[in-house]
Amino acid sequence: MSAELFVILVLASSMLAGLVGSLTGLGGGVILTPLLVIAFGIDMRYAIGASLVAVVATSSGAAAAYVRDGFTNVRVAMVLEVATVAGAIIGALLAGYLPVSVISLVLGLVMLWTAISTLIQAMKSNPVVPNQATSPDTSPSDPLAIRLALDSTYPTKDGLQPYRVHHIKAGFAIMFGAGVLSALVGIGSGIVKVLAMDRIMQLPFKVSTTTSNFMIGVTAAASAGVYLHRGQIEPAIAAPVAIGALSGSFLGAKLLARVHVKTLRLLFAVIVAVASVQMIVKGLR
Amino acid sequence: MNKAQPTPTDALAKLLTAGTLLAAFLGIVGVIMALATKTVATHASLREFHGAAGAYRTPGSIFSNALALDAKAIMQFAALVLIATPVMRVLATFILFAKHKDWLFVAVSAIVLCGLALGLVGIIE
Repeated sequence: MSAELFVILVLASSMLAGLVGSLTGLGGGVILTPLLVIAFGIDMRYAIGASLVAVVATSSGAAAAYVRDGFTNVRVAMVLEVATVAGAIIGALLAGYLPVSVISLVLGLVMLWTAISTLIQAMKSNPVVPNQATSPDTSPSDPLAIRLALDSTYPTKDGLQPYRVHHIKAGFAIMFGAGVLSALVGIGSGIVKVLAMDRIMQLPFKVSTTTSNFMIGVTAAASAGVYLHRGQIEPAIAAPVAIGALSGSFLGAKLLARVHVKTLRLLFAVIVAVASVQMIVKGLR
Repeated sequence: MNKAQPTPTDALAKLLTAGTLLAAFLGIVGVIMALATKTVATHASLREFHGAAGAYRTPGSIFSNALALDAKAIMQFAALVLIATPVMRVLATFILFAKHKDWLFVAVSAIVLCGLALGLVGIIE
């Protein structure tokens, strides 16, 4: 393959990954690394480095809009970033010692989990309606939330709705794991972050997703720094992947209102499931 | 504005947008230059891990090579700007919390900044 053709193909497919990642709300990382490894035969270590740079790019791009709209809880993000950054550094260190096969296996399992949870969610008759006004939270806040002044409000159709933050310690622990995972396999691990904030800390869904996206950039930047020094960020692959993913995610944000997201999510889940089997097989071989 | 959220979010949003746009611009320029001067790595060289050349591994040498208009260094500089954007965002929150004399969160932001610096400066490899 000529160098020109290679760059163009990488750009185009990263754009597709960014587009699908933003339309389905699952981010591009979980598709990018396997795409580079399976479709292009690129070494896993280069693929992870490039994917992390793309993850930082799409997170920053999207975060700007969400911060402005007032959904992102900057204080909660700041506290939890202590955990994700620590996890990311440990994960990046760990990645230096683990054989590539183990990393493939972990990525395959994360992909399978993403696919299954997407399928389950898509098949539910009542999908999560973002920005719905839930009944006011009457359970007491975590004492730590009061001390750190984490409780806040978010915009709904009926005006600003207050919410409380719960189980901060448990959320913090899961975030550490999200950081390790993000660094190890080169993903944003938004699925783990949303799980911690939505289910455990009981933040409103839209606050969870936007705060997760806000944190992803910082988490991925921590490990990307380590990978830069290790030579895993190769300009020939990282730059086209980042540009492609960034333009794809911008396009996705523009198209979001016009596509049938449910069908797309189902299709995405099936593709990720098939690719996950390939990564798992690669890991076990 | 809500007391619990003293962060002027518009400044943060602008910072994030500026970093992303600058990186996209540099990346596109770098890719075009690399294609024009035929300095792009071949596909085959990426199938096996050798590690990026030393010149593209530290912020200092990436910057000086980009100034010398090395196409690959400009591409790598784009990646560096992307990585630096969230770091700048944390730095901005650190300053904002300091302005509000919210010392607990100044400390929290400082811890996050130290973690990010550990990776970027190359203390950990």
